[in-house]
Amino acid sequence: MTWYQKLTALQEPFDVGLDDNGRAQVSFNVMATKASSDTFLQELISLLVDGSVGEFAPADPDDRNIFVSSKDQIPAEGGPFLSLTATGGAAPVNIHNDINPPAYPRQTAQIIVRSPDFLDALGMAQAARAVFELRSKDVTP
Amino acid sequence: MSENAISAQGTLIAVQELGVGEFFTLGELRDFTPPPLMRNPIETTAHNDIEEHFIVGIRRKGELQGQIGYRPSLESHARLVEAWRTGSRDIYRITYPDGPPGPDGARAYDDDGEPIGTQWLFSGFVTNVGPSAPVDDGLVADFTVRPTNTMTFIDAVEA
Repeated sequence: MTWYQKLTALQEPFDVGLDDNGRAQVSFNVMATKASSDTFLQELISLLVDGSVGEFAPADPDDRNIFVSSKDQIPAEGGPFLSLTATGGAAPVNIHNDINPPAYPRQTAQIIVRSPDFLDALGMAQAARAVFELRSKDVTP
Repeated sequence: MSENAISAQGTLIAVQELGVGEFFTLGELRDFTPPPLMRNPIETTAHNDIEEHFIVGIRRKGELQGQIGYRPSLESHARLVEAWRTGSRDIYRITYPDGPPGPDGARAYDDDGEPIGTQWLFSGFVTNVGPSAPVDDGLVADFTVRPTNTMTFIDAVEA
Protein backbone atom coordinates (compact mmCIF):
# COMPACT_ATOMS: atom_id res chain seq x y z
CA MET A 1 0.00 0.00 0.00
CA THR A 2 1.23 3.47 -0.82
CA TRP A 3 0.00 6.67 0.77
CA TYR A 4 -1.17 9.27 -1.75
CA GLN A 5 -1.41 12.76 -0.32
CA LYS A 6 -2.64 13.95 -3.68
CA LEU A 7 -3.13 12.61 -7.20
CA THR A 8 -4.40 15.05 -9.76
CA ALA A 9 -4.58 15.66 -13.49
CA LEU A 10 -2.37 18.50 -14.65
CA GLN A 11 -4.81 19.36 -17.44
CA GLU A 12 -8.01 18.14 -19.05
CA PRO A 13 -7.68 15.45 -21.76
CA PHE A 14 -6.83 17.05 -25.07
CA ASP A 15 -6.36 16.07 -28.74
CA VAL A 16 -2.72 15.30 -29.60
CA GLY A 17 -3.27 14.29 -33.23
CA LEU A 18 -3.23 10.94 -35.00
CA ASP A 19 -0.95 8.00 -34.27
CA ASP A 20 1.02 6.10 -36.95
CA ASN A 21 -2.09 4.05 -37.72
CA GLY A 22 -4.40 7.01 -38.21
CA ARG A 23 -6.17 6.71 -34.89
CA ALA A 24 -7.23 9.69 -32.80
CA GLN A 25 -5.12 10.27 -29.69
CA VAL A 26 -6.24 12.03 -26.53
CA SER A 27 -3.75 12.71 -23.75
CA PHE A 28 -3.31 14.24 -20.33
CA ASN A 29 -0.73 14.13 -17.54
CA VAL A 30 -1.08 13.36 -13.85
CA MET A 31 1.06 14.27 -10.87
CA ALA A 32 1.14 12.35 -7.58
CA THR A 33 2.46 13.64 -4.28
CA LYS A 34 2.85 10.36 -2.46
CA ALA A 35 4.90 8.18 -0.19
CA SER A 36 7.96 6.66 -1.79
CA SER A 37 7.34 3.42 -3.71
CA ASP A 38 8.72 1.44 -6.63
CA THR A 39 5.26 0.64 -7.92
CA PHE A 40 3.92 3.97 -9.19
CA LEU A 41 2.70 2.65 -12.54
CA GLN A 42 1.22 -0.47 -10.95
CA GLU A 43 -0.68 1.77 -8.55
CA LEU A 44 -2.10 3.80 -11.43
CA ILE A 45 -3.08 0.60 -13.24
CA SER A 46 -4.85 -0.63 -10.15
CA LEU A 47 -6.86 2.61 -9.98
CA LEU A 48 -7.83 2.23 -13.65
CA VAL A 49 -8.87 -1.40 -13.25
CA ASP A 50 -10.71 -0.82 -9.95
CA GLY A 51 -12.45 2.16 -11.53
CA SER A 52 -13.58 -0.02 -14.47
CA VAL A 53 -11.77 2.21 -16.94
CA GLY A 54 -10.12 -0.76 -18.65
CA GLU A 55 -8.48 -4.16 -18.34
CA PHE A 56 -4.79 -4.80 -17.79
CA ALA A 57 -4.58 -8.56 -17.24
CA PRO A 58 -7.93 -10.01 -18.28
CA ALA A 59 -8.62 -13.74 -18.69
CA ASP A 60 -8.81 -13.23 -22.44
CA PRO A 61 -5.68 -11.32 -23.55
CA ASP A 62 -7.68 -9.82 -26.43
CA ASP A 63 -9.72 -7.86 -23.88
CA ARG A 64 -6.67 -6.02 -22.67
CA ASN A 65 -6.86 -2.28 -23.29
CA ILE A 66 -4.36 -0.82 -20.81
CA PHE A 67 -0.69 -0.78 -21.77
CA VAL A 68 2.31 0.40 -19.82
CA SER A 69 5.60 2.01 -20.89
CA SER A 70 6.98 2.55 -24.37
CA LYS A 71 8.01 -1.12 -24.53
CA ASP A 72 4.46 -2.50 -24.32
CA GLN A 73 3.05 -3.46 -27.74
CA ILE A 74 -0.17 -1.60 -28.44
CA PRO A 75 -2.33 -3.33 -31.11
CA ALA A 76 -1.99 -1.64 -34.49
CA GLU A 77 -5.74 -1.59 -35.03
CA GLY A 78 -8.84 -0.99 -32.94
CA GLY A 79 -9.26 0.70 -29.61
CA PRO A 80 -9.72 2.51 -27.43
CA PHE A 81 -6.37 1.59 -25.90
CA LEU A 82 -4.90 3.45 -22.97
CA SER A 83 -1.14 3.69 -22.52
CA LEU A 84 0.59 4.86 -19.40
CA THR A 85 4.16 6.19 -19.30
CA ALA A 86 6.06 7.52 -16.29
CA THR A 87 7.55 10.93 -17.07
CA GLY A 88 9.84 11.57 -14.14
CA GLY A 89 8.11 14.22 -12.11
CA ALA A 90 9.46 16.98 -9.92
CA ALA A 91 11.73 17.20 -6.88
CA PRO A 92 10.14 15.64 -3.78
CA VAL A 93 8.49 17.45 -0.91
CA ASN A 94 10.98 16.91 1.91
CA ILE A 95 10.60 16.77 5.65
CA HIS A 96 13.31 16.60 8.29
CA ASN A 97 12.16 13.20 9.51
CA ASP A 98 12.89 11.27 6.29
CA ILE A 99 15.89 11.75 4.05
CA ASN A 100 16.35 8.62 1.99
CA PRO A 101 13.96 7.73 0.50
CA PRO A 102 12.36 11.18 0.40
CA ALA A 103 9.09 11.54 2.27
CA TYR A 104 6.91 12.68 -0.63
CA PRO A 105 8.18 12.14 -4.17
CA ARG A 106 6.18 13.98 -6.81
CA GLN A 107 5.87 11.59 -9.72
CA THR A 108 4.21 12.26 -13.04
CA ALA A 109 2.81 10.08 -15.81
CA GLN A 110 1.41 10.67 -19.27
CA ILE A 111 -1.80 8.97 -20.35
CA ILE A 112 -2.56 8.57 -24.06
CA VAL A 113 -5.76 6.96 -25.33
CA ARG A 114 -5.91 5.82 -28.97
CA SER A 115 -9.03 4.91 -30.88
CA PRO A 116 -10.33 5.00 -34.44
CA ASP A 117 -13.17 7.10 -33.01
CA PHE A 118 -12.14 10.37 -31.38
CA LEU A 119 -15.11 10.42 -29.00
CA ASP A 120 -14.31 6.89 -27.81
CA ALA A 121 -10.75 7.98 -27.07
CA LEU A 122 -11.98 11.12 -25.31
CA GLY A 123 -14.50 9.12 -23.27
CA MET A 124 -11.89 6.66 -22.00
CA ALA A 125 -9.47 9.50 -21.24
CA GLN A 126 -12.15 11.31 -19.25
CA ALA A 127 -12.96 8.13 -17.32
CA ALA A 128 -9.26 7.75 -16.50
CA ARG A 129 -9.01 11.40 -15.52
CA ALA A 130 -11.90 10.88 -13.08
CA VAL A 131 -10.19 8.02 -11.21
CA PHE A 132 -6.91 9.95 -11.05
CA GLU A 133 -8.27 12.53 -8.62
CA LEU A 134 -7.40 11.40 -5.09
CA ARG A 135 -6.72 13.04 -1.74
CA SER A 136 -5.14 11.42 1.33
CA LYS A 137 -5.69 7.77 0.44
CA ASP A 138 -3.81 4.48 0.40
CA VAL A 139 -3.46 2.87 -3.03
CA THR A 140 -2.69 -0.82 -3.42
CA PRO A 141 -0.67 -1.72 -6.53
CA MET B 1 38.55 27.73 2.90
CA SER B 2 35.52 25.51 3.02
CA GLU B 3 34.87 23.48 6.16
CA ASN B 4 32.29 21.05 4.74
CA ALA B 5 29.11 22.90 5.62
CA ILE B 6 26.29 20.43 6.16
CA SER B 7 22.72 20.08 4.92
CA ALA B 8 20.05 21.18 7.39
CA GLN B 9 17.75 18.31 6.47
CA GLY B 10 17.56 15.81 9.29
CA THR B 11 17.50 18.38 12.10
CA LEU B 12 14.93 16.99 14.52
CA ILE B 13 12.79 18.22 17.39
CA ALA B 14 11.85 15.89 20.24
CA VAL B 15 9.67 16.69 23.23
CA GLN B 16 9.66 15.29 26.76
CA GLU B 17 6.35 16.05 28.42
CA LEU B 18 6.76 17.86 31.74
CA GLY B 19 10.42 16.82 31.67
CA VAL B 20 9.53 13.22 32.54
CA GLY B 21 9.75 9.99 30.54
CA GLU B 22 10.81 9.39 26.98
CA PHE B 23 11.23 12.00 24.26
CA PHE B 24 8.88 11.77 21.31
CA THR B 25 9.95 13.09 17.94
CA LEU B 26 7.80 15.70 16.26
CA GLY B 27 6.69 14.12 12.98
CA GLU B 28 6.24 15.65 9.52
CA LEU B 29 8.65 18.42 10.43
CA ARG B 30 9.20 21.03 7.72
CA ASP B 31 11.17 24.27 7.87
CA PHE B 32 11.84 25.51 11.37
CA THR B 33 14.03 27.99 13.22
CA PRO B 34 15.69 26.97 16.49
CA PRO B 35 15.65 29.59 19.24
CA PRO B 36 18.12 32.34 18.34
CA LEU B 37 20.71 32.91 21.09
CA MET B 38 20.84 36.57 22.01
CA ARG B 39 22.17 39.14 24.46
CA ASN B 40 21.21 42.77 24.61
CA PRO B 41 24.14 45.14 24.04
CA ILE B 42 24.48 47.69 26.84
CA GLU B 43 26.41 50.81 26.00
CA THR B 44 28.96 51.85 28.59
CA THR B 45 30.67 54.62 26.68
CA ALA B 46 31.99 57.33 29.01
CA HIS B 47 32.34 61.03 28.22
CA ASN B 48 36.09 60.71 28.04
CA ASP B 49 36.06 57.72 25.62
CA ILE B 50 36.93 58.40 22.01
CA GLU B 51 35.08 55.33 20.75
CA GLU B 52 31.94 53.54 21.94
CA HIS B 53 32.11 50.74 24.52
CA PHE B 54 29.64 47.98 25.20
CA ILE B 55 29.02 45.13 27.56
CA VAL B 56 26.28 42.55 27.07
CA GLY B 57 23.31 41.68 29.23
CA ILE B 58 21.99 38.33 30.34
CA ARG B 59 21.64 35.40 27.97
CA ARG B 60 18.34 35.53 26.09
CA LYS B 61 16.64 33.18 23.72
CA GLY B 62 14.16 33.82 20.95
CA GLU B 63 11.30 31.52 20.03
CA LEU B 64 11.40 28.12 18.40
CA GLN B 65 9.24 28.55 15.31
CA GLY B 66 8.42 26.07 12.60
CA GLN B 67 5.94 24.29 10.41
CA ILE B 68 4.62 20.74 10.34
CA GLY B 69 2.67 18.88 7.68
CA TYR B 70 -0.30 18.82 10.02
CA ARG B 71 -2.14 15.58 10.68
CA PRO B 72 -4.42 16.31 13.65
CA SER B 73 -4.71 12.66 14.68
CA LEU B 74 -0.94 12.03 14.61
CA GLU B 75 0.16 11.50 18.21
CA SER B 76 3.05 13.96 18.20
CA HIS B 77 0.81 16.65 16.67
CA ALA B 78 -2.03 15.99 19.10
CA ARG B 79 0.49 16.30 21.94
CA LEU B 80 1.55 19.70 20.63
CA VAL B 81 -2.03 20.93 20.79
CA GLU B 82 -2.40 19.38 24.25
CA ALA B 83 0.69 21.27 25.43
CA TRP B 84 -0.91 24.48 24.21
CA ARG B 85 -4.24 23.59 25.89
CA THR B 86 -2.74 22.78 29.27
CA GLY B 87 0.06 25.32 29.19
CA SER B 88 2.52 22.62 30.18
CA ARG B 89 6.19 23.38 30.47
CA ASP B 90 7.90 20.63 28.49
CA ILE B 91 11.49 19.86 27.55
CA TYR B 92 12.41 20.43 23.92
CA ARG B 93 15.44 18.85 22.29
CA ILE B 94 16.82 19.94 18.95
CA THR B 95 19.30 17.51 17.41
CA TYR B 96 21.43 18.85 14.57
CA PRO B 97 22.51 16.49 11.77
CA ASP B 98 26.24 16.82 12.46
CA GLY B 99 26.82 13.37 13.95
CA PRO B 100 28.74 10.64 12.15
CA PRO B 101 26.94 9.21 9.10
CA GLY B 102 24.93 6.05 9.57
CA PRO B 103 25.32 2.82 7.61
CA ASP B 104 22.95 3.98 4.83
CA GLY B 105 24.80 7.26 4.39
CA ALA B 106 21.96 9.13 6.10
CA ARG B 107 22.15 9.87 9.81
CA ALA B 108 23.29 7.72 12.69
CA TYR B 109 21.17 6.66 15.65
CA ASP B 110 22.35 5.40 19.01
CA ASP B 111 21.33 2.09 20.59
CA ASP B 112 18.15 3.68 21.95
CA GLY B 113 17.11 4.81 18.49
CA GLU B 114 17.91 8.44 19.24
CA PRO B 115 19.59 10.52 16.51
CA ILE B 116 23.25 11.36 17.10
CA GLY B 117 24.27 14.99 16.78
CA THR B 118 24.79 18.23 18.64
CA GLN B 119 21.81 18.87 20.89
CA TRP B 120 20.17 21.94 22.34
CA LEU B 121 17.86 21.26 25.27
CA PHE B 122 15.54 23.76 26.90
CA SER B 123 12.18 23.95 28.58
CA GLY B 124 9.38 25.93 27.02
CA PHE B 125 5.70 26.53 26.44
CA VAL B 126 3.72 26.11 23.24
CA THR B 127 2.35 29.56 22.45
CA ASN B 128 0.99 29.01 18.95
CA VAL B 129 -0.38 26.20 16.82
CA GLY B 130 -1.69 27.78 13.65
CA PRO B 131 -3.12 25.41 11.04
CA SER B 132 -3.41 26.45 7.43
CA ALA B 133 -5.57 24.71 4.84
CA PRO B 134 -4.73 25.88 1.31
CA VAL B 135 -7.18 24.33 -1.14
CA ASP B 136 -4.44 23.26 -3.54
CA ASP B 137 -1.73 22.13 -1.17
CA GLY B 138 -1.13 20.06 1.96
CA LEU B 139 -2.57 20.79 5.39
CA VAL B 140 0.14 22.45 7.47
CA ALA B 141 0.43 24.13 10.87
CA ASP B 142 2.85 26.74 12.13
CA PHE B 143 3.96 26.33 15.72
CA THR B 144 5.83 28.43 18.24
CA VAL B 145 7.53 27.47 21.49
CA ARG B 146 8.60 30.12 23.99
CA PRO B 147 11.77 28.86 25.75
CA THR B 148 12.31 29.68 29.40
CA ASN B 149 15.18 29.30 31.83
CA THR B 150 18.59 27.90 30.86
CA MET B 151 19.55 26.06 27.72
CA THR B 152 21.82 23.02 27.75
CA PHE B 153 24.22 22.30 24.93
CA ILE B 154 25.51 18.77 24.29
CA ASP B 155 28.28 18.16 21.76
CA ALA B 156 27.76 15.60 19.01
CA VAL B 157 30.46 13.33 20.42
CA GLU B 158 28.78 13.26 23.84
CA ALA B 159 25.19 12.95 22.63
